[in-house]
Amino acid sequence: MNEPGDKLSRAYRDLAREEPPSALDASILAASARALRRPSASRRWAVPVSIAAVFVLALGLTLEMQREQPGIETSAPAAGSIPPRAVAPQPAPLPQAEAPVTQSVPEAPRSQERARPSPKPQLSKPRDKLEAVAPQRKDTAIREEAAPAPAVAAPQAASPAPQAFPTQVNVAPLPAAAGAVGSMQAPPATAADMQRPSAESQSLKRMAPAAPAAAKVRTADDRELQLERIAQLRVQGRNAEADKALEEFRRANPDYRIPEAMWERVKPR
Amino acid sequence: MLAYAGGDARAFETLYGRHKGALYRYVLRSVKTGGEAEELFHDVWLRAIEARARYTPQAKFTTWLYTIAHNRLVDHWRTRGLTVVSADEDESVPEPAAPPSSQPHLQLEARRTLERLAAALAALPLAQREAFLLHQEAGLGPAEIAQATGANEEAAKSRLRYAMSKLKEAIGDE
Repeated sequence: MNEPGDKLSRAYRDLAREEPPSALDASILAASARALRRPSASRRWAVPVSIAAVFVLALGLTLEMQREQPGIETSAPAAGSIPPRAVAPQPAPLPQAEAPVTQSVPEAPRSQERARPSPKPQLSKPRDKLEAVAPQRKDTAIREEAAPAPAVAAPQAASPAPQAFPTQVNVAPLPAAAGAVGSMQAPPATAADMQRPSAESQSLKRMAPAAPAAAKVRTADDRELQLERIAQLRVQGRNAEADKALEEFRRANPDYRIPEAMWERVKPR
Repeated sequence: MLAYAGGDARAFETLYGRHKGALYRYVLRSVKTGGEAEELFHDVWLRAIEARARYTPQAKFTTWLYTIAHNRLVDHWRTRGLTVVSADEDESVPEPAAPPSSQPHLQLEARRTLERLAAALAALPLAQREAFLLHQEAGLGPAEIAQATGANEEAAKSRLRYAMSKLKEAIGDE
């Protein structure tokens, strides 16, 4: 646009030699040092806000998982890890399993509850709990193998679940039962189990790229909302509050350009 | 700025030392009176200090700083109904220092040139003057001027061209 050595630039350099007064320098430097000594509001709130955000995120993910695949957050690991062990080592005890079928029906939710905290009950559970968990699984597995019984037993095993996990069942009870029982018996169900994480990851992937854009929109919306609130204060004649709010807004958003129309509504009166 | 936001007070001193003169002159020539300029200059730096945690190096620090300054000036002008304070007030811009010259007639000529330049600069429309000051003081190009003032690049380029053309004409450098 213009060379550093041209006449206009040289003339301007000769003209413009003013510097801020040293008292002003000292005041600004002191303010900068003071600002470092007291933590800024954003830093003060950083830790509590982060913790709250983690909780909200965890809760949100759990609810999302429950909504998409009810029961996955509790029963999937236990159910997925058991079937090969339950079915493979005991191919023969079909006759013995006939009796527990009726007994095991009301036991189903309790055993599921016990199985939930530990995916490997054989290693960590006491003997009585181990027995309570393991036979139940065997029963279920065996029932599925026996031809006529499983069709009846599976819905029965699933039916007490609504009492134990009412929120899950209210949303979608049938897929949970089908998935939980099905995963213990046959390859198609196992494949369905394996699809669950991918369905979740797809839903997360869908959410991920939208996040920064959403945050940007949220920030813009927040600013507009704040300005709208200030405008409302002006309308209500609460000018002192509006002045204060506008000053705070300006301090928080020094590089935000207030649109002309909005400025007319929020400007100091 | 990132170093300062991270707790390094000396980083701010360096930044301040680097930008204070140019920013002060930019503000001073935008409002004309020394008192207002000092108040606004102080305010701009305070806002930069308070916004340090939100600074992200997406743009040059200079552009960010002058964006804050521009917004502060716009608020200032708006509260005064966009009237530019006239140049002949009591608290006017200090007389520019004359360039060193041993020959009286050259000294006089240089002084007249500076006076003409100062007058032409003061007579420029606000947007053109701002574009010129951002270019001269902050070293911003048209794209950065556009970013700092919220204008589009073509408009910034045009304002700068008009401003320089008028100033060159005023000092006889066409």
